[in-house]
Amino acid sequence: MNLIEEILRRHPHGKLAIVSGDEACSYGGLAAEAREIAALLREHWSEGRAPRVGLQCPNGLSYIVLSMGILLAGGCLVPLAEELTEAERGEIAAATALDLVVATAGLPWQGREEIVAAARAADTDWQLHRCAVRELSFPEEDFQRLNPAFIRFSSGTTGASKGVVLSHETLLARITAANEGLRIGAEDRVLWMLPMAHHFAVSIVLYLYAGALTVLEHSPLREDVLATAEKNSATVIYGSPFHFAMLAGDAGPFAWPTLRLAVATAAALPEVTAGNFLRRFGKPLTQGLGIIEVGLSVMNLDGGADRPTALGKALPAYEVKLTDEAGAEVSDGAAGEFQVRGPGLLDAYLSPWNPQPLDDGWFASGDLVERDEEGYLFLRGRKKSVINIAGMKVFPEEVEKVLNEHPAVRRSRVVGREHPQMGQIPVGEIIPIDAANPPKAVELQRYCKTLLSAYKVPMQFKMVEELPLTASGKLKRVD
Amino acid sequence: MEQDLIELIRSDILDHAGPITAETDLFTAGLDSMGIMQLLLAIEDRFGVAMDPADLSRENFSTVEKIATLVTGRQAP
Repeated sequence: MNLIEEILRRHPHGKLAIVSGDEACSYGGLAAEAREIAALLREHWSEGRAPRVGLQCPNGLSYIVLSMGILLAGGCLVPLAEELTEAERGEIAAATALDLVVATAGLPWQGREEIVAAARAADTDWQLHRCAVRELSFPEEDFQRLNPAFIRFSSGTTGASKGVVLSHETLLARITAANEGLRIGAEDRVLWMLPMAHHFAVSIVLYLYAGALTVLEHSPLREDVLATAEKNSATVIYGSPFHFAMLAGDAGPFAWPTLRLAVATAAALPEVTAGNFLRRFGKPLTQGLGIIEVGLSVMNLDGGADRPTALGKALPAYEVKLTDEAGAEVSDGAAGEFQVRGPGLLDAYLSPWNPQPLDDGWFASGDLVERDEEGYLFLRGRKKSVINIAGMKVFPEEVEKVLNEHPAVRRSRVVGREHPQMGQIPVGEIIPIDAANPPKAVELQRYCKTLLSAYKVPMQFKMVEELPLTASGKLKRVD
Repeated sequence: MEQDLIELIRSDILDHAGPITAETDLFTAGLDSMGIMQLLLAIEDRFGVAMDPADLSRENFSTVEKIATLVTGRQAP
């Protein structure tokens, strides 16, 4: 099954699919663009297996048609987010053994890979690069048997991010299950402003499958977002708590009467933001728990007004259990690890290769979640060490590895400091080699930036004499 | 304050942009969502004032001049 074929079969050609500023594209237009891209790509790969194709492209109509073209041609899509540094891109290219890279002119691929084709899609020039043959860290035949569509990394490849493999069937299963909660249909107009390299499957692909109109907003300013909402009579918006805090501060006259669903995702929703949004627009924010390995399994569909900070309840297709260290279910009111079972969970981890990532169908997420007596789930923290900066995930191990290479650093630890708007921000603790002459914060930041995406770079540094260690000499993650 | 902000934006937020003055429209120069968040955190770190996302509008955040006014207002007791 090819999910894009399914999508293109479902909707009338004339139905409007995407609006982006003054540009508009119908489902027929998307089909024509995607088929043209797919045909060109197929000239450059050998038959018999799905090549892994990196996509480096800013948000826009071109991101959508290039993704569709790659998937339609049978390629496995590997998003290369635009904020990645050259070192991070190289790591992902190596870990996934990329065959090809599609890169748009506005965001040129910096690698040495030769250019084998150039074309234009959705008014954007793009180039196709062929990558050198690489050593595989996973069994190609087993990988191919999955009918792979996506490989997603939640951060760099070091730390604990393992590369999540999702098949066409998995994507269809999870968007079908998520839409039992979202109920997005052909009449919906979804206002979109999140980075597509981080959010695509259970969002844009779902809207396309449902035949909705997706309205792309490129400006981060609330005046522009609200003007676009008004102009297109948007019915659904997806954003981070930060976006909603910004929108709720608007003092203009626009009441947004067409809004029926505002989904807050990516970071814990502060109660004050939920309250301000409800007061300003008369609609509650709906929290959802999106997990790359899972999709959208929990949503606060009916509790937004009374319990805005709740994650909500499991959607109909999913079972949730909260477990203690021994694997036993915790009682209501106590926090346990979030485990979920249902359709569309990941097919495999890529590196290290693990084709059986579930335990009797259950996926354990590492989130600490509590259930109240009425069954609503609340996020209480993380069991694992990942730091969540407004939805962008950072593995402290990855940042520490970079810091530890700095000539003035003996050892480092990176922790998340709680922040009311961002969720957390990364802070570096450093044991300097020369305590009398410690490295300056600005120098460490500049150094980190050459190797790490900007959001991963610690905002603050603290010089310390020692770091807390476990009995086996590993860094303690929780004080 | 304006000069500090310009320095900060040039070194930490928009390091590939062209020249930035107190009147440059930062959004035209490429300030995006992620950049706004980084700028808010950097201002909090450097000037010790927590900014409220509800304050973020074109009206008071599109240039260094406007941001400086906002930060100074927040600093005032």
